[in-house]
Amino acid sequence: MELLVIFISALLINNFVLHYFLGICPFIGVSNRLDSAFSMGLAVTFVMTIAATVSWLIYYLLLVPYHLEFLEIVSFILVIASLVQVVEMFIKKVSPPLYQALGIYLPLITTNCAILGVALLTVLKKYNFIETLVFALGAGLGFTLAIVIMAGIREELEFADVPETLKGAGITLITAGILALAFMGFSGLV
Amino acid sequence: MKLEQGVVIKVEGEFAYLIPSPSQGCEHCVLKDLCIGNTGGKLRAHNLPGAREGDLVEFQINIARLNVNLILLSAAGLVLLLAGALFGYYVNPLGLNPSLSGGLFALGFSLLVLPLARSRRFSSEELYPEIKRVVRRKS
Repeated sequence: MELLVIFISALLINNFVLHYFLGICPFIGVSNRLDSAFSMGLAVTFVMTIAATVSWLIYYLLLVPYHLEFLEIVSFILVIASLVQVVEMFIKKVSPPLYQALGIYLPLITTNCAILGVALLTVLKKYNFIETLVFALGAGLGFTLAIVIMAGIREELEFADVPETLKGAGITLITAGILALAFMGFSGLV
Repeated sequence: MKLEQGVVIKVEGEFAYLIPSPSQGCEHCVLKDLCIGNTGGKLRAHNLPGAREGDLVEFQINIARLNVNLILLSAAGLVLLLAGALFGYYVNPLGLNPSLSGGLFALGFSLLVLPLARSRRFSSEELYPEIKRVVRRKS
């Protein structure tokens, strides 16, 4: 039950994009089209879950025993950057067409602060290993949900009569704000 | 599915290499500077209409099929990771610290995705974009 609460909380209530406002850069930048948004969301979910798992292991099995907790941020950044490189090499090797079409999203994941945010929050919340895994998975799927909803709205917005001054970033930020308000409705869920 | 434009730079058998032209949608994209069309990178595509070097062509990326493959790869990786973590944490066959055991089994299980990834499905040449028509021949 506890794991379900953590999952739902990361997915909907404390959504990383719409509650913590982390990962806004890809959220705004790659939500022009539904298909690209979905690809980006999946790639983020995958890297986020593995990064949180590895970061947790490094923190509790290496940094804490040797009293090196002050290296937390540096080591987590290193883990995320290395993992993205590994995933990039893996996709390039096993599926060149997939890499050609979607490999562009991978460098952006390295700089996605939501991934570092998940790794840091798991330490801050003192989650155990399984809770970390479930939290990261929920956060990744929450990111995917938010970016896909945003992309769907933006695709519809192309047919709307938006005032000239609001076109582009203006209407996108207003939409993101309304979406964040809508997600606030989930706060009483668990 | 949306058609993109690009200029053919090399023809190699049934395939052509092309440089995509940035479209209007690229204007506000944060990946603009990394994108293939803006970094001089090239795309490999099926040359169905027999385009020649220097031709301006319209091509199409079958993003739905690519997404299916991406879902399969990432979902398989995540499911194996979760299964390994749960197995290592709760069953703990090595008698280690449950978290360490969970971590080791999670990473070990996730390597099982490698045999699946070797499937021809992921490297199939059908996944490459297709040139649909020649917009302008090189004069």
